[in-house]
Amino acid sequence: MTSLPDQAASILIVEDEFAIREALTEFLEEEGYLVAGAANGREALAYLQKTDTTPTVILLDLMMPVMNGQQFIAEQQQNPTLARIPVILLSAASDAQARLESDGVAGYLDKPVRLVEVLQIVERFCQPQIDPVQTQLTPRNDEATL
Amino acid sequence: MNFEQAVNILLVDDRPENLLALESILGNLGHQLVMAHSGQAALKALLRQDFAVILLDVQMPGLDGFETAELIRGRERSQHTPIIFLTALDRSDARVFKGYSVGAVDFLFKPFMPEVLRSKVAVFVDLFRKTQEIQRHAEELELRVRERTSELTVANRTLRAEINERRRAEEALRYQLDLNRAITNNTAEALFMLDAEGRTTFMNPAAEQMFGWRQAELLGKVLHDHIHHRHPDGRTFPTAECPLGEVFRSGEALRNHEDLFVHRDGTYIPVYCSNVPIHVDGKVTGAVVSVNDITQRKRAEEERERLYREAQEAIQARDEFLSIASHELKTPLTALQLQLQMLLRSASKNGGAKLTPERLLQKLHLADQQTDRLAGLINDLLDVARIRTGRIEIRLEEVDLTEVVRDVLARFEEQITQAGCSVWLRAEAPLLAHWDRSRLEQVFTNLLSNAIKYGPGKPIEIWVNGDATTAELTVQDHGIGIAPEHLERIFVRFERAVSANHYGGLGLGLYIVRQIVEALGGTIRVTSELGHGSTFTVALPRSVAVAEAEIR
Repeated sequence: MTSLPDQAASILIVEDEFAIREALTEFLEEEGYLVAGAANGREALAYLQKTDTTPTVILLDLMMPVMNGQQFIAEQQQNPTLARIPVILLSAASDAQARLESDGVAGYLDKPVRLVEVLQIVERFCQPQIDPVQTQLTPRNDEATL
Repeated sequence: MNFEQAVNILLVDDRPENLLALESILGNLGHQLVMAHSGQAALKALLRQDFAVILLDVQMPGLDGFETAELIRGRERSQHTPIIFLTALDRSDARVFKGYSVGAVDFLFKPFMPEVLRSKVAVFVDLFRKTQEIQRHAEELELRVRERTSELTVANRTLRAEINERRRAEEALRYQLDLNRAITNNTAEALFMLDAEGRTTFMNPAAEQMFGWRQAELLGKVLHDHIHHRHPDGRTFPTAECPLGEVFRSGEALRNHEDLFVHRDGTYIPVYCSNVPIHVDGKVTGAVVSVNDITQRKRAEEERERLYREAQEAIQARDEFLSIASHELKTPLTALQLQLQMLLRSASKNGGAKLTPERLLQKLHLADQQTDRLAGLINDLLDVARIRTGRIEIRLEEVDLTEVVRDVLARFEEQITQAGCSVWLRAEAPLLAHWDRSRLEQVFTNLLSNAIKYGPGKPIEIWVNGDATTAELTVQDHGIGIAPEHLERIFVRFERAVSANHYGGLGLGLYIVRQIVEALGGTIRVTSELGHGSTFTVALPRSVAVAEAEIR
């Protein structure tokens, strides 16, 4: 689990699949965001309770062991401070299940997902506050370049 | 007899004084006296009327008495009119004879005694009257006979028509009766006729068969007490509560209601029943109860409902499976895709220079693992599809079960370490038989994966042992265990004991394991305690009876 510096626009990735979590973390860090990761809803809540930094946005997988995405959102909504954090669902399940109606859900990303889509949706909520590692390329050109 | 009707008497004489004399003798007898002065006059008078008797003078100028008599006799109408000849001449036999031969009835010789004349005339008048009366009687009789005959003819005709009518009616009635009998005897519907007190007055063969009672046994008995007297829970169903009572009270039919009747042997028969009252002169005199056995229909209905429920469950299971499969397939695919995109990004940005060879290798290794996972999932799906179509392939060769177990364990070493598990293996080596190596690998892989998945951080114990006929592979974990109520389900396709939210996988592993084990002629059993772990034991015969098996 990575800690977030106080002043940064930060993203919390809640995803049980290590390979996905790792790739997204690496990508978003390269794009200049501060990224923290959690392997399930329980870990994410634990992180949120103990950290001083409130994430700008949460990327949330739905199907996870221990505490799944839905349960996490339910818990999150109990806490007024946490409830304000927009949640983007990162779902591999069929649409009906993914289109979870909830106050906390601000957007959807369907797996499998392209990096450019991740960036687009994240940018709706926050701008990188650390200079991107690769300044010569803007995220907009990302897809064309790829 | 009755009052004397006046009759006609013809007096024929050429001498007026004789006629006068006759008139004076006969005048007070009350008869109609007709005088004729000659034979011709007499004949003329006879044309006009009939006479009871003719007094005919023999000696007359012109036509004499005999000639006149002959003419009189010659006419049909007067043929039998009695003639008394009056003669003064003599009494010679010759004349008398002649007189008789022309039809004289009698002779009177002049001068005649008034009394004799009167009495003779009276005899003939009497005779005439009687004859007339007889004739009248005869005519009357004939008339009456004729009338009677015609009456009889009419009556006869009427009677015959009535008989025909009745015969036709009887035939129609017989036909109707035959028809009714044919219908009531051959209908599959049980029919009862009841009187106003609910007593049986008739039941058809279908009713006898449906309820096990003979008509003779139920005649005069209250039907309810024999076939409708108990509720399905065994409670008594009082006659007073029978819906038939309401039918009798209201006079209105109760049609096609569902009910439960009782067979003589005590079994219940689900039926459709109609109670229709019989009205005679505005009064309910009884009822027709018709009953259809709907056991078959009920059974079919239940069967349909069961099939529908099963289909619904199957659809739900399939939907759940699709959702899980979607997740399970997309997860490694997403990981793989993200890894590749990151590699592409890195390569296009700086020609790969930024990545150290170690980092590149790590990424490729992760990507490779994802493809392995995808391949495994796809194989499972294909296996399930093959099992569904009965085409799981078994290729027999000499295999050492212990070796298979060791090989798989070696492949899982990293995963076991990552999960914090430890493996304890006790194997008799070698354990050889003709099995399908890759299928055995599949079986053990699935059992081991489950042990790791459901018991991370816990030890896993594995036994491989056998005797001359059977080999046993046991995998015991100390994980979450399986609740007793789920033990049956875990070998069923798409089923799992726990939520897919918490544990990945398609829910196909144990299903495939069982199918393979059974294809090899073996069995799989499980013992488990919730919260303490599960033990799966696969028993395989060492000589597999299946040829290149085609199993289902």
